[in-house]
Amino acid sequence: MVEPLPRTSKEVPTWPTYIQYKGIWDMKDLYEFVASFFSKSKFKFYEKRYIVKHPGPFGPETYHVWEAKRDVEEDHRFVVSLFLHTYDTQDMEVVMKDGTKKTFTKGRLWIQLIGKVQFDYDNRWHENAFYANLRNFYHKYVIWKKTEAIWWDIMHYNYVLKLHSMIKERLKMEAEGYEHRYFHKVR
Amino acid sequence: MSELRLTVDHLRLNYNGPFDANSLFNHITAFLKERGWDLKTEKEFENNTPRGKHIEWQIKCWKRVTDYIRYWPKIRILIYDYNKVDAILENKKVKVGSGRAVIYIDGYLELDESNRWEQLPFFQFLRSIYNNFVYRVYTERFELQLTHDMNHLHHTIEQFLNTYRSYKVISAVAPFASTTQHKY
Repeated sequence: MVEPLPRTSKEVPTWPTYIQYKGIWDMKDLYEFVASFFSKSKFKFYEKRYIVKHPGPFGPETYHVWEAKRDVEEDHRFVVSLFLHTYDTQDMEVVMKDGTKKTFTKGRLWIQLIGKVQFDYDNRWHENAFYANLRNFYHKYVIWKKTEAIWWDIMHYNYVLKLHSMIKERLKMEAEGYEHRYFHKVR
Repeated sequence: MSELRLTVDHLRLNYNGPFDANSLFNHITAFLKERGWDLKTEKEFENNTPRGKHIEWQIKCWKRVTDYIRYWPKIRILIYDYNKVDAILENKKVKVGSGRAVIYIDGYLELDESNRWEQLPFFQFLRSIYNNFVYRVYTERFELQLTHDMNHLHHTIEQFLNTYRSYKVISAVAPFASTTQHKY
């Protein structure tokens, strides 16, 4: 069940969104595409983890943990976390339409996207209990409607779900398409 | 936890033949959005197999009807052996998807969606009394409305798939089919 947004004082997360894909894809292109999406959207992009696990019987297994941050205002920022899990992968040489050869990846891919609106990211209201309680009150009651209706919406619809749909397009999945892609953003 | 009733249980639609999967997803999304539903995608799986694509798509949508009632339908689509094939439509050769689709629609009715009658067992008892006896007519009316909405969706999906009746498929080759045998 989708519950109302959790009333935490430090961050407001979205629910996770997944993509599972099995087939052939261009990992380099996917990486560059995600990085360029975030840089165009004025996010800072970090490749936090790159873990290559011991190969299984069907091929190697790799974890990619990526994170993008954008400081929207002094008090809040958007954080989008991506977890890519590739397994049973093999490199394949593919001949393109113009005759050039490229190396693609064949295997399974699992992507998880989570976004969150983070408050007080510099821990300015963290020094003592009074400041922390003041901050919690401010986030819970004073600006809660703005958080819920504006910032969270922008982060969820304009970044997380948009990226989700664009990754589907990149992988040429059948379920590509997203109704908020050309959202008019008029409020 | 609010009271949840399974009102529409596995309304099912089987289809085998030409259809465009992307258009089917867009059709369902548009149907729900136009009628004021919100939705989230729960499953978005696509596997390329030697016989064609296997796609699983599941969404959960919701609509608050009153401050007490919320509808919670779940739509799950399974597509097997989905390939792009050549077909003839009005004497013209076109590309269209073809495969086997199974569509399940479940409809849940959530009563007391804000959990206002949840704190004490006595409140829960009162809620049950109201739902089942005092406001029984209203509860049943909401159940009927949800059932009607889901049947309407089912009907429009049938209509959508019926538009592909005029396509005559002339080839069916899986894109991942090759001479070597892969085990997936």
